[in-house]
Parts: sequence; structure tokens; C-alpha cells
Amino acid sequence: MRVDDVSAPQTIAEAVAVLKRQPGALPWAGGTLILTSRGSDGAPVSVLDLGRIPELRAVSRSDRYLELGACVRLATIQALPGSLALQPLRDAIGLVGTATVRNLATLGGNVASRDSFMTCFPSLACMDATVELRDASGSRWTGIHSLVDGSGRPAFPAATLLTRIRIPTAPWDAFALHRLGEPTKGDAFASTFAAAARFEKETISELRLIASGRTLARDRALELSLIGKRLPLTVKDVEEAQEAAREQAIEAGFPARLAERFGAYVMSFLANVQEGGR
Amino acid sequence: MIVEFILNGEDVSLKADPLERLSDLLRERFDLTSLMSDCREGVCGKCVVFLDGLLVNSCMVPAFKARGTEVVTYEGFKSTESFATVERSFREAGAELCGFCDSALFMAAGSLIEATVRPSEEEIMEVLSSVYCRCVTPSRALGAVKAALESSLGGKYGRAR
Amino acid sequence: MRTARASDLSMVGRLSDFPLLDAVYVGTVRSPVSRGAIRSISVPHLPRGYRSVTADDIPGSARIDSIGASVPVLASGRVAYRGEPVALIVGPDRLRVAEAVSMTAVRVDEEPASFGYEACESRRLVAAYSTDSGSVDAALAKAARVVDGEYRMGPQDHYYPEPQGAAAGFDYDKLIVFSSTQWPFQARDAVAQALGVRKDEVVVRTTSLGSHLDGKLWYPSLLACHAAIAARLSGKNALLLLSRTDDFMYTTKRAPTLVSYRAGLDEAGKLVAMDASVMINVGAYAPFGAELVERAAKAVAGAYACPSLRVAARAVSTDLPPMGAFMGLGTGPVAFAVERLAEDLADAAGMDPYEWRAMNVARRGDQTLGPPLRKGAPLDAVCDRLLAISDYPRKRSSFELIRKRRPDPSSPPGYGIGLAFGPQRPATALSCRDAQAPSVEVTLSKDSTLTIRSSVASGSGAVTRIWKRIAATSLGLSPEAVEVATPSTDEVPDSGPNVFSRRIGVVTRLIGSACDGLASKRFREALPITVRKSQRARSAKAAPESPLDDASWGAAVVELELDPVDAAPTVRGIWLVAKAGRILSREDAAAALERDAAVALGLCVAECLDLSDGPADPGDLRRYGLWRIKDAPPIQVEFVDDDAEPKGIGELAYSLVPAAFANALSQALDSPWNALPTCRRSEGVDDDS
Repeated sequence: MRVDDVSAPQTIAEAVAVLKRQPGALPWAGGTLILTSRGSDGAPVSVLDLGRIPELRAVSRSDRYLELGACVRLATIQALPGSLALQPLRDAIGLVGTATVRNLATLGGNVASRDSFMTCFPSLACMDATVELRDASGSRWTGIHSLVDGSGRPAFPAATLLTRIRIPTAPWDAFALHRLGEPTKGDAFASTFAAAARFEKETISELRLIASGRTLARDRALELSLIGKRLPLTVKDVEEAQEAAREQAIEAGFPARLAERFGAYVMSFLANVQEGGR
Repeated sequence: MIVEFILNGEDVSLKADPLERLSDLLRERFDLTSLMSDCREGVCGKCVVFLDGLLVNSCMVPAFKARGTEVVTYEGFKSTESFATVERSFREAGAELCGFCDSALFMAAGSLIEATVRPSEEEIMEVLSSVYCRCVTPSRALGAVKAALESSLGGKYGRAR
Repeated sequence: MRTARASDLSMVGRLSDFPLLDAVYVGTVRSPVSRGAIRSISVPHLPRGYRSVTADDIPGSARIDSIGASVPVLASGRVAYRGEPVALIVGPDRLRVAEAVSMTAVRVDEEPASFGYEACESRRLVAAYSTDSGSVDAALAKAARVVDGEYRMGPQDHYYPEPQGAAAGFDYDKLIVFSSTQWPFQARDAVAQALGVRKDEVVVRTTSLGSHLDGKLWYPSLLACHAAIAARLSGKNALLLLSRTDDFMYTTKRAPTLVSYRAGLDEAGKLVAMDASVMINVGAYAPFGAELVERAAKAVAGAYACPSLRVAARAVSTDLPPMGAFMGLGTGPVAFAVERLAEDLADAAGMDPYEWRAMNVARRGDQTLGPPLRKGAPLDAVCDRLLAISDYPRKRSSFELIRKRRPDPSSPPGYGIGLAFGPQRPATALSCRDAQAPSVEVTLSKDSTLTIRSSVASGSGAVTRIWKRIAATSLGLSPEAVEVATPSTDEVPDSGPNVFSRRIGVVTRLIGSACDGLASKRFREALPITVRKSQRARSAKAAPESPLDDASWGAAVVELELDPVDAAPTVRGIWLVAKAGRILSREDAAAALERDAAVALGLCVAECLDLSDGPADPGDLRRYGLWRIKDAPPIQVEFVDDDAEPKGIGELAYSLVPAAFANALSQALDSPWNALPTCRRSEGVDDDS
């Protein structure tokens, strides 16, 4: 990769203006993903350095949400008070690089990847995070799932900035996060499994079961079919969920081995839910 | 582009390609050879520097990101009390190092000493593991950092994570 | 720009810190294919001050012949592996040199390449060693039980703390070469041969070795030749530094090894016969091939008595880069195999693994390896302590109950504990071009300082402290008055290669002896006094010795638990007990063993490299998982008291921990696990997207 020019706006409005003029400009937060995934060849690019925009590094909290600027470093999130119900995200962050890389890498960079879903994405999806996107036409909040296209691939819109991520802070009764496999010749980045559940009066009131890698696999019909079921789930329900998850992952393009593992983790999560959660 | 930043307490200015890695700039332009330019992918940790107070892999910092920052390398860290504490603690703990990763490990230990909150053992090992090293005995490294924390924090920062 | 004489650079720690004062960089042009005839090498136009170097430009011998094989300094006529050095580009700007290298076209008439080694064609066989004692076939035919096993250890990278390289420059008429090498005199001889000069016209100075896992025995000599040739032809200091990627792809790796056994037991469980085959993939050229097969063959029976033993060990050449030493030459994979076999034999005999070992361990007088053992393998002494501190017997029984009584036999039991016991053979000479007689020198100066000289670079602070203490005690000096000279071949005697714990096993003894000699002369002769001591070669008339005599011994236990979903193992603890003669510094030795155990465990579960389809590519480096110190489990190390001379322990953890780990994993899975690293299971399977 060669860099033609670097813009370093001081405000989001300036950054959006740059993107309007140069829709192909490469937004650069921590840049850790960019530096490891792009080679030295290729056409020169213009870089949009987001590091000088204070709003993008802001962390704010309300009763119901935690809001993180897209350039908040992963290490900063890890250091947030333990009282915040962020464990799915913290667990995901712990899998990213090393401590010193996490001092550079940002949440926005992890979420806005255009080639694969990176490690934090499924946790945020489980937590029903919403994202603020800004472009020349204005800003909008949208569910993080809008960054996934119909075939389960990343669909981050062009000429758009991710500016904030809003995470509901209502706690989850059970959650799980695992690597699904290691990087392979086919996939440069490891896939991730994330799950979360809430219970109410011994029934499942909310459920999220997600696998992400090059594509994202999530079977909402499966989740809905289990919501309202009494705990503990029957063996039949758990086994059917395992199979449905495996099939969903295959359909989403996961290799057979990872799809099997997704099914196995779904089964394990639901079985643990029977035993009282994490 | 012109890149200006503070390096080990001094203002510096140089012309560099925007994507030139900070690790290369520091080694080749400033002859700061304590850091090694090895994996160039944030894996080995031998290029760590303090960037605005945070320990980072300088190979993952392009020149344009270094503008306006404050960079402290091992050469600068060596003049601090934290270094003296860390160096003494590693020596007394018998945590022998091979000469390749010493500066990076000392900086990693130093970052823990200079943190405002006392880290847990898990956090200590997590930070030390930023540097890939086959030479150090894990329990000795942990013991060295704990001893360094004891002698530097001395109850000043009492809050554990 | 300043010009420095190379002799000004007396202390270069890391090669990457070599001062660049008017130096030239050396880039390597490599073969793009694994096998074939070189048709042409097209170098782009080079600006003034830059030049290319091919085999035709080598002033002296174009091959290094001192390592049991003939390795081209630069390939000429044919290439034998992808990445083989074919030419050098030399010039003052690193980036321009790299650019010129990338623009140099090497055209090769490519031939089909072969990377497999398990079924060997005779033309690929480069070294073999076999023994046959007793009546193996008859004993197997009569055996009450026969067990077959195949055990594999895959290639792995040494992942040096600094990628390899070399630097060279002239100091008047001498060429000074800086090399991170375990064997500076070998490097000196190789360079002298390549330049066509006398050996005393070349000086090799050792730079920091770091953790090398025995990968720097000979490859640094090749790089030293490149740097030396560049310096000679350019008239300037020359620096060659491989990138991490190039070092990973093109330099030596652990030789993949397959060990196959057929072993017979009598009714009581006693080992009656063993038919073993060892196949080693040595890649191209096979340096130390003969050494590898001999040491592997002699390790096949492990610590056990076997009246009828047949071993065929073969080194097979393939079109991969040269493979070779990895913590010992050839013994690590075989130690893994024999200790896995021991477990399988115990299982076949229906015996506890420790009980089986106790029944079959080689006792005094045992002649499995030929000459009778002077002292039996100290299984009881070592394992009594080990079993106690690890609680192995109780845990194993509990895990066996879990295994046998689990409600769902299709699910793995999930808990395992494994044991391994074995030797580290004493420091021996390498059969190919080793020091005539490893030597050290000590000099007491007028100011009462003592200087120790040895070519075995004491990169270890612990070993340096031991040497200083021994010397100081012997001569009544303070340790601060003792210094260890940085190895430079013009200033230190040849102590041979830094391998097989030679520093502790041989050099330490020689230092003590030399200091004793100095002490006797000190008040009779004028200072300075220098005393030189050499290890005498064993007389040909002396009674033959068992390879296990004077071995150090150790045992390890590994306990682990499996993830209930993906069966990934989590190690809960490692225990190691060693009996290695007088321990010169318990604290340092314990720290070294703990560190080695952590690294050895990391090598079991990570550091996966699949070369079955061809050499490594940059993606393999990215996927090469590295264990970190945070991943190490609790590790406990103890030593058994022993009055014998100090022996090496540097290979023990690497021999024992993998086997103990695999034994534990086999119990936890209720299925034999016979290949390491464990990630090899997924070789090729993941890429089905």
C-alpha cells in the first residue's frame, strides 16, 4: 500500500467533508488491521486520519447505554469499571492481539472491517449494539446488523464514517465467547462464536447465537423457537438447536469443521443454560 | 511529509513517507537500536515504545500517526526511576534474559509500574506477553514484576483490580 | 561517511545493531522453485556502487563441506529447494538492494518436486544407520502380545529472537566475521574455504545467540560465507540480515520424523523384542544426516531393556529447505515416540504405566545398546520424587475411573495425566569435523584478574556466573576479578560446537581443571600465566561405553483437562525431576528447566507448520501460533541429589514434556495421540471453504 496524502481533520464534520470529496479515502483509526492485512503493492490511497477528532474518543454513559466513540482503544474498554455489563465485549477484546496492540487498536476499526467480521462484532451483535454512521447526507443510528448484507457478508457502506457505538448495559444472564478455529489458508482471521441469553421466570426471554468470520451466521428462527421455552431445555430442543445452527453456518459459507463446532458450542451453551448459566 | 514529535524529551522533526513505520524511523534515523524491527506485524513486541504514555508496538505506528505525539524509547526509559526499579527487580529475581528482548520486557514491566492501578497477576502476565520471548522463565518474570510493584507502589496506590 | 575497521567493532551484541558505517547491505536472490536446472539469472541494471554475486564470483570453494554434506554457497547449475540462495546483490542502500533482488529473474527448468519422506526411494536415501541384536523376528513370533505404533513429530521453527544474518569486514589483512553461531570455528573454516584463504586469515566473532534450539549449528556459516564474499568483493563492511519471513521460509527447521515400532511383550509384560524404523526428512543436502540417524537409532529403546532390538534409521532427502537439529540432533522425536510406546505397551499389558517402566527399565549391565551399562537408569530415584510431588498415582487412578465409567463412551473422558522418563545423552563429539580436542584457556594476569577463554559462547548469565565462581574459588579470587572473553576465533581455543550441553558437561570441567593447573603454577612462575586444557579423545583401545553411561536423567508428568466442546487441552500442571550430577546452581538450573518446559509445552500445542505439500509461505508464518509466557501452566522442578560430575539438562524438558503431554492427552481422549504438535490434526482440513 502506498499513501498519496493524509488528511487529519479535527472534527467529524471535517472528516465527512473529506469523504465527500474523496469517497475512496481510507479511514484510519488505530490502523492495526490495515497494516497487517494490506501488502505494500497496490494503487496509492488517500488516508483519512481519525486520530485527532476528540469526539471519536469519547466514552459516555447513561442509565441504559454505554456510548463509545469509534476511536476508543480496545485497552480503554477493557479498563472500564467492572460494574458495567460488558463481559461479552471484554472477552472478545481479550482475544485481539496483545496488550500493546490493544493500546492502539480501536473498537471502530474492529467493527468497520470490510473483508471479514472481526472479533468484537459478534459480541456487539449479541448485545444489540447500535452504530452511528455519518456521511454527506447526515447521520443515522442503525442496528449493528445493518452492517451485514443478505448473504451474511460485511456491508459497511462506502464513503461513510462509523462514529459511535451504543451498547445497552442491561446485564445478560448467560453469555459465551469462543474462538471457532484458527486462521487458515482460506481465512486470514479466526472465526468467533458468541452467545447471550436472558431468563425470566425460568424461561428464556432473549437469546442470541452468532458465529462470525468471513460471513456471519445467525438463525433468528432458531432463537425465536427457543424463546419462551421453559428451563431446562429438553435434550431434543438442544440437539435440534445444534443441528439447526450447524446447518445455518454451512449455509452461511462456513467450512464444515467450523460449522460443526458452532453447533457444538450452541449445544454446550444451551446445556449450560440449563445448569444455571455461566 | 514532515513529521514532528517529541522523542525522549526532545523535539524532533524529519521528512518521512507517511507509511514509514515508527520503528524504522527510530532505528534508522535516530540510531535508537534498543528496539528491534522484527515481525513488523505487532506479534513479537520487540519494538515497543511509549506513545503518549501508552506502551505500543512502534511497527504498527506509521509516521503520520506519530505527528504531535510524545515518544519514549528504552533509551529514554533508562533514565527513569521505574527502569532502575525494574532492572533491579529482574536481577534480584534471577529472571535471566538473553539480550534480545530485555529492553522490551523492561518497558512492559515499566508500563505496569507506571499504571495508576495495581495490576493483577493475570494482567501482569498479559502485558509481559506482549513481548514474545523464549528465554525468560515465566515465574521469575512474574516475581520480578511483583517485586518491582511492591517497591515502587509501596502502598501508594492501594487499589487492586 | 566514517569508515570503521571491522576490528573496531569488538562487541556486537545483536547483528541488527551492526554499525552501518560505510557498510554495504547484502540481499539474497533465491530460487523460485523447488527443483530444477538453472537456465538464467537476469540481474537488472545496477547503479554504481552495487553489484551482483553469483557462484562464479566465489573466490574459493563454492561449497561448504564440513558438515557431513556438501552445501553450495550459492547454487550453480541446479537448485535443490525453493528459496535456495542463487545470487547476492550488494550495495549501500538497503531498500535499493531489496528492490534489485525483487527485480532479479531466476529462470529454472522446473522439475517435479518431492516433499514426502515416509516411503523412501533409495535414490533419496542420504544416510542410514541400523543395528540388529538378538533374534527380533523369533522373539516377536513368540511374544504374548505385539504392539504396533507410529509416532510423528512435525517440522517446527526455531523462531530465533533475531532473524539470522552475518556481518563481515576487513581489518587490514584479516577478515572479521560476526555471526550468531553455535560453532564459530566451523564458520571460520567455511568462510576460509569459500574465500580460498588460510584459516588464520579469517576471524569469527560470536554475537548474541539467544534461544536457538540448536538451529545455529551450521546455517550461520552459510550466511557468514555470503557476508564474507560480499565484503571481499566490495571492499567494504557487509551486513546480511534475513527478514523474519525469509528466515521462517528458507532456513532450517526441525526435521519431520516418523518413528514406527513393532514391539513384543511376554505374558508378564516384559519387553522381549523391538523392531523400529525411523524416517527423517532432512530436506535438501542433508547436513548432519549421518549424525541424525545415528543418534535417533541409539535413542530408539529409550531407557528400557530389550534383549532383541532391530533399528533402521534413515535420513531422506526431499526438495524442502535443509531440515535438521532441534534441541538435540535426532533424539527429541524419538524420545517422544518411545515414551508414547511405553504407555501403549503398558496398556497392552494391562499394567500401570509406571509399573511397566519399573519392570522394563534398563538396569546395570544391560546390553540393549551394546556395551553393558555401568549404572542402571535411575527410574526409582527420579520417579519416587516425581510421583509424590505430582500426585500422579492418585490422579491417574481417578482419571482412569472417569474414563472407564463415563456415561457416554462417545464423548472423551476429558482428564488426563501422563508420565515420561528418559535420558539426555552426555556431551559427545559430532562425528563430522568437530574440535580435535575441545579446549579452554585461562590466563591469570599481573593485576590478579583471570580471563577464561572458550569458543562456546556463554550467552547464559547463569553459566557465566558458574564459570566465574569455579575459577574464583579455585584461585582465591573474587568473582568480579574473573572475566569471560567474548568468543573470537583468534583469541579463544576451539571448544567445539555449543551443543549437547557442552558448556556444562565439558567446558565447565575443563575450566576447573585449567584453574587447578594455574593454581599449581601461580607462585612458581611469573605472571601472566596461561594454562590450556583439552578434553582428550577417548582412546580407541578403551572399553566401549554405552551411550547411556554418564547420561543425565529426568522424568516429567503433565496433567491436563479438555474443553468439553472442542476438546482443546488445557494443561493444569507440569512436574519435572532431574538427576544430572552435581547441580552447580540449583536456582539457575530450576529456572532453566522451568523455562524449557514452558517452551516445550508450547511446541506441543502450537507452532504448527505443514510442509507435506511444499515449503512454507508467508501465510504459514502468519498462522504460526506462538505460545506466550502467560500461557504457561504452573511448573514445578526438583533435582535428585547426585555426586557425579555435572551433566547437561538443556534437552531434558524437550524430550520429556512432549511425551508426557501426549500420554496425558491420550488418556483424556481415550484414544492414542501419536503426533505433535496437536494442531497438526487440522492440517489441510480447515481449508475447505
